[in-house]
Parts: sequence; structure tokens; C-alpha cells
Amino acid sequence: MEFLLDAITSGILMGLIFSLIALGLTIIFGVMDIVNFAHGEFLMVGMYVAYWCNVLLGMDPLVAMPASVASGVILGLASHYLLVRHLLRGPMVAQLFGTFGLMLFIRYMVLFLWGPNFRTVSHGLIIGKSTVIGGVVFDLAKVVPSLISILAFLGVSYFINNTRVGKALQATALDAEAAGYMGIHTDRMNALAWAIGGGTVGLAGALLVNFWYITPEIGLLFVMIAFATVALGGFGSIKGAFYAGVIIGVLETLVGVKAPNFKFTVVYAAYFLIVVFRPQGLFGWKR
Amino acid sequence: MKVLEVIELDKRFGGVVANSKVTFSVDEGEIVGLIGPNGAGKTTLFNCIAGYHKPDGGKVIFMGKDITGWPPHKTNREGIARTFQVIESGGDLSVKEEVMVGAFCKIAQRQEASTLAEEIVDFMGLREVKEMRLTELPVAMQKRVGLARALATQPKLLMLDEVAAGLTPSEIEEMKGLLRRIKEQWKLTLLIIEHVMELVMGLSDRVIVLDSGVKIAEGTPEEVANNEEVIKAYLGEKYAKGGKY
Amino acid sequence: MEAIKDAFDFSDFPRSERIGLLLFSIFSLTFPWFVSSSFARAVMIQFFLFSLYGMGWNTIGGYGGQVALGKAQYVGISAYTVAMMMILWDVPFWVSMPIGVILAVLWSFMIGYPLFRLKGHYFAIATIAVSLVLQDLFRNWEFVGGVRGVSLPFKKTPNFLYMQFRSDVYYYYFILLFFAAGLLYMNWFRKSRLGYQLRAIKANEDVAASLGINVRWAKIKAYAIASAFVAVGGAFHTVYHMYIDTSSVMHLELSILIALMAMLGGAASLWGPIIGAAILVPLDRYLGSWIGGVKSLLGLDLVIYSIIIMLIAAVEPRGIWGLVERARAKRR
Repeated sequence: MEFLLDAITSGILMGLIFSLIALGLTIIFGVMDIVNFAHGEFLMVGMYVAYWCNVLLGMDPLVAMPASVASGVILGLASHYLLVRHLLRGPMVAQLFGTFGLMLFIRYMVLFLWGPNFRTVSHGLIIGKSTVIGGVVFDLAKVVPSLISILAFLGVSYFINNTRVGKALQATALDAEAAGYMGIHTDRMNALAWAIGGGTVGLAGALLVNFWYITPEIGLLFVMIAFATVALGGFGSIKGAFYAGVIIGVLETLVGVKAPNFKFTVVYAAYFLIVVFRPQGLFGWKR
Repeated sequence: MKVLEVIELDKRFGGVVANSKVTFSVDEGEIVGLIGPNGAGKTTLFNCIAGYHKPDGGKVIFMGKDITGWPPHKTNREGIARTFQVIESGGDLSVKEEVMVGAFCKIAQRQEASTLAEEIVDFMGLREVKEMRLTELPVAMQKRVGLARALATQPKLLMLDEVAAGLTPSEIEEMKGLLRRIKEQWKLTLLIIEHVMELVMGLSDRVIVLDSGVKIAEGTPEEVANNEEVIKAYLGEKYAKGGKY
Repeated sequence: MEAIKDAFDFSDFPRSERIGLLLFSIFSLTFPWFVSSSFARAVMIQFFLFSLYGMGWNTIGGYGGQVALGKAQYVGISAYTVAMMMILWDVPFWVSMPIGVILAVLWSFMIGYPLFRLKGHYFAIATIAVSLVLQDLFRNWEFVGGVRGVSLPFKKTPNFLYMQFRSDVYYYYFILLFFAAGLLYMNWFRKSRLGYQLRAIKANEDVAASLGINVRWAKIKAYAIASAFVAVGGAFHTVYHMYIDTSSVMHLELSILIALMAMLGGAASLWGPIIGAAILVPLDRYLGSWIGGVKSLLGLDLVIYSIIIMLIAAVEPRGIWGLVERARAKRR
């Protein structure tokens, strides 16, 4: 029973990080109706940035967070201005293939630059440390990231709901054309969405480095997890991404206890089942 | 014989009532017009009949068969064809190919489908443009293509959704003549949604008027034009007989 | 039969293209006579194989407009069927291949029915999800060798029953045969009722439905045909390479490549997948052999592909053939 509790706790913590990863994806989708296949690659790059900060500058991954966020923001903005903006003119098929190409580009560029070897950050403030509270094991390497994830969610929610720019973003998400008539610059809002999307997932990368290995291939796994999370939460719903991430995290961990080889298989299957049988997810989609 | 019977049709979208207890019928060989102010529920009614929406209540009977809630491809196979307000085509089909798609509805062999398509293309005066794409054509021709491909499905009832929208007065006259010829040639029954009064009043045997989802009048074009409720619906209280203006 | 006539009828293509086809046919038929480099022959074999994959994808992805990114799972199903049937029960190729194709098609119907409730991005991601699930399942299935894969037992060559030959010339003509059959089928397909229906669906689904088309069912049928095509390819792959594992017949990169063949060359055109393969396969082979020797350049070839993908998507989504048609239209 205790074992189960450990697993569920671990699942929730892991899930909160999935939530953060999914946050950016759901924002980009909510504002632009575009699915960013390269989302997992942004994460991966954020991980590498944290890694290099650690190896070359001796920074702890937690200290390297701003660098990873910056890398995500840069990637997001670059993607928007150099590629996505041009894809908008074309049919949906082209948009799909375009961000798909971006995903491959980043992945194989990293492979080309830094090779296929697995890397890890083995020492850090929270790495490998755990505490026991009330008989349940808490892996610090996941607790601190989870807390940061929650903070990020609160921050983004506040921004979206309480600032002028945030509300402009919402307006664009609801009806870009109408928002445009009101003087809200659609292109800038799109860029903002990509910046937030990239930044949050870059942050997730720095957090992930505390307990996950780093390789150019990791992007696919996480983008699929992000898809499943966004589907479950409802495409475009921030609240949805938050809760769905936790659910997926628990699901994955519990399955991992009994059948570790199929931890992620279950997540892929979950995406399929959700999208076919309950496409609006938990909280419906924004459009 | 009654080609179409709509009985107490209800359709709601969330809290909005689009159609409420709409009842009417269409006899074989008739041309029936469906008019009403914007938002009256005309297109919703069409969609309920053709199968794009499922009615929340009531029945749709076509040639004696209950087709309530049938999906669009099934109602089409059964004999109801419809045109769309906006002739959209994101594809790369030529005019003739569009018509062939329609022909393939009831014909399995390409040769036969091609023959029917050619026949209709000629009848509709589209022979010169049959290799061109829809997007390359002017509006009036696009409408004819929309008609042509619907005809190719060999329907018994043809439902037209604002076929005169965007046409010049001379094009409207042409369309009137064309519709009459189509009806004669293929022994069709027509149900027309229209805002352009010249077309619908000049063509219809009977007219049905909807307002805010409810049928408010039915009769010959003259009867309907003089109907107080109809005038009120379109022009407001002031212009109904007896009002001061 | 009208169908056979239609398959061989290329008369609606302009003269220049028909001549091109003729030249290409002559070239293909005589290639092994004047080229003896086994590397070059291997490239041609790969080219025909990937053209076949691309043509199959074209039915649902090109003409139908539904971007399926999980076709590799059907390659795998067929490949494993052929391999296992031979390893376990010594079943000849000409029996196991049809069975492999049938199994792939059956699976495609099972998956297709729920899958085609989806459209656009959701559909594409779902195709990826399903193929990843299947790959995971096969990877963990000891019966088919798990991660290690399976090797086929060798027979005395040449062996037409089991499709094993020492000389690549045999393989060349067999894949050419499949390729030709595929091309003729596609030529019939694009003029057939289903072909027209798919094109109408791609243009506008509501309009298609109004013309009597059962949209979902048409998509499922096209998807099944695509699966059959790639399954034939998968069967060939098995006996050609004599070894398969999930990362060579079921991996996501393969699904992407299959879609890319058609999209690069020009989806919804007969020549598109062939053009796409003609560019990508030699590019991959020659680039790969150049890069493969230089360890530090690992991944560069895929970087190049990805740039190609992004360029097509941003500049001319209709692919190379789209560029050709654009140029023609200007001249008109």
C-alpha cells in the first residue's frame, strides 16, 4: 500500500512537470490553431542548454533555468518569424508538415552538433536527494520542479487573466479577426504565444535535467506526452493542461510499476482513445 | 403525390430556437419558395432536411419514407440534392470533374458517369469552361456548376440555397429560365431558399414564410406578398396595412 | 474490362509526359544491362520500393488530403508476417505476402473506423500514436524477436518460391514488377469512382457528402488501399534484406519518409511520389554513404531533409509537381 502511495506521489510530481510541458503547446494551439510538432524539441534544447551551463559554467540546473527559458523563447520567436508565419498562408497540410519539418530539423541539428550519446547531470542541489514525509518518499529532484511548475502556471494564468497584454492574447485566441479590428496586432500576439510556449517548455527542460537523461531523441516522447495531456485537458485550456498533466503522470507511473516497458505506450493509446471518444477532453476546447 | 413532408420540425442550438414546429409539404413538380428575414431559420431547416443537422423534434418524410436524422450522403442517395450558398472548392477538380463526382453518386462506371456529366455540362452551357477550375470562374458560372453537380446525382428534389445571391438582374432572369428548363428536363421538384424576390416570387407556385424559426405564412406569391404578418416580419409594424407611415 | 483499359490509358496526360513515361520505362527495363555497379542497382531497387510506398500513401494522403503519418506500422505487419511464416513454417513468399497484406489491411480497417472520426492535426497525431503503440508492442514481443528482430533462414539460390537470390538483378525486376503494377493501379484509381470521391472530400467534405459520398467510408477504403501498397513493399523488404527489426520496418522515420515521398514530389498527382523518391532515395543513399563514413556528420542528411520539408511546406505545398504546374499555368 505504501508502495502505491509512493508511486502515486511520484506520479503527481511527474505529472506537474508534464503539465508545464503541455502548457506551452496548449497556448500556441489556443491562440493560433497550430499544432507545434517541434514542441518536444524545444524541451530537448532547453535540457541541453541547462546541461551545457552545468558542464561548462558549473551552474546548477536550477540556476541555469533562466538560460533554458531564454533558449525556449528564442526558439519560439525564431520559429514564428522564420517559418510559421509563412505557413499560415497555406493549407493545413502544409502547416502540419512545416512544424513537423521544424521538429526534425532541430532534432537532427542537435544530433549533428552534439552526437547521440546520452548525457546526464549527476550532481546538483536537488539531484538524487529525497525526503520522507509521513512514510511517503518524496524525490526532491521532482518536488522542486513540481513547485516551480505550479508557480509557472500561476504566473501564466495571472498574466493571461490580469494584464492588458494577456487579455489581448485571449482575444486573439477567441477570434483573431475580431481582435484585429480592435487594434490587437495578430502577428504580435502569435509571436507572444510562441514566446510563452517556447519559454515555458524551455523551463521544463531545465527542470527535467534534474532527473532525466538527455539525448537528441527525447523530443518525440515528450511531444507525444504533451499531445496526450493537451487532448485530455482540452485543446487550448490552461486549466485543462494542469489537471490533465497530473492525471497522465499518475497513469504513467502506475503502469510503470507493473509494466515498465509499456509506460509510454499507454500514454500514446490514451491520446488516441481520448481524441476519438472524448475529443473535447476535460474542459473543452477554446474554439 | 407528396415529395416532401416536414412535420413539426424543431431545432435548437443551445438556448437558441432555430426552428419551431415547422410544418409544410411539397408536391411533385412544384416549385416552393422559402423566404423570411435573416436569421429566420431557413438554412437550418434545409440542413435538417438534408441531414447536416439532426432535428430535435418532428419528422421529415421524403417520398413516403421517414428520413428524419439521416446523414447527408444518405438523403442524397435517396433523392435530395442541394446547393450551397458559397461555392467552395479547395480542390483541383475541373468543372467537368466536379460534375462527374455528382454523377458517380448513382453510377459506378466511369464511362457512364462521364457521359451523364457531359450531358449536364452541355445543358448548363458550361461546355467552354469544362476544363477550368471553379475558382477561375465568375460567380454566375460557379452557381451553374453547383447546380450541375447536384443535378448529376439524379435527384427527385432539388433544394437551392440562395442561388440568386450575387447575381446581376440579367443573370437572375437567366437563372429563372434555367431553373424552369432544369425542372422540365429532369422532372424535378424544387425547394428554394431565396432573398432575391424577383426570383422566388416569379418562379414559385407556392411560398412559405419563416420568421424567428416559426412558419408565419403560406400561399401563392400574391397571397404571401399581401399578408400582414409577412410585411410586419420584413418591414416592421409600421408598414403593415393600417400602420401609420 | 473497363478497369484494365483505364489502367493502361495515359491519354489524358500531355504528350511530353507520356514520352517521359516511355523513356523512363525503357530506362528502367534496361538499367541492369548497362549498369553493373551493385551500389547503383541497390539505389534503384530502393527507389522503386519507396515509389511504391509513396504511391500507396498518395491514395489517402494525396488525393484524399488526410495526412497519415503512421504507415510504417503496415510495412511492419506485413514484413513480420512474411518473416515469421517462413521461419516457423517454411511458408513460401507467394503465400505469406498475400497473408501479410491481408493482415495489414484488416488492421487498417480496425484502426481506420475510429481514426476517421478525426480530421486534420488530430488525425495526423493519432496516426503517429497508433503506430508508436504498435511498435512498442512488437518491440516487447519475444515471439518476434523483440528488439533484436529476426533473420530469415537462407535457401539455395536462385529461389523463386522464397524470393531469395544472390544476384540483385532478380530483386530489381521483381520490385520493378510491383512498381509497374502499382503505377497502373494508381492510374486506374485516380480515374475511378473512389478517386473522384476522395478528391471531392479533400476539396470540401460537406459538399462531398451532399453529392452522395459517404465520406468516412471512402477515407477508410483509401486508407486500406494505402496499407495494402506499403504492405507489399514491406514483404519485399523482408526477403530483400533477410533481416528485420522494429527500427527498420516500423519506425516513425519510415512513416515520415513515406509521406514525404508523395508530398515532396507532389501529392495528388500520379508522378509525384515517383519524383519524390527519385530525389530522396539517391540523396539519402549517396549522402548517407558519404556521411556514414564521417562520423562527425551523423544526422546531417536528416537535417537536409527537414529543411526540404520546411521549404516545401512554406513555399509550395503541392510539391515539385505543383511547381511544374504553376509554371505551366503561367505560360498558358
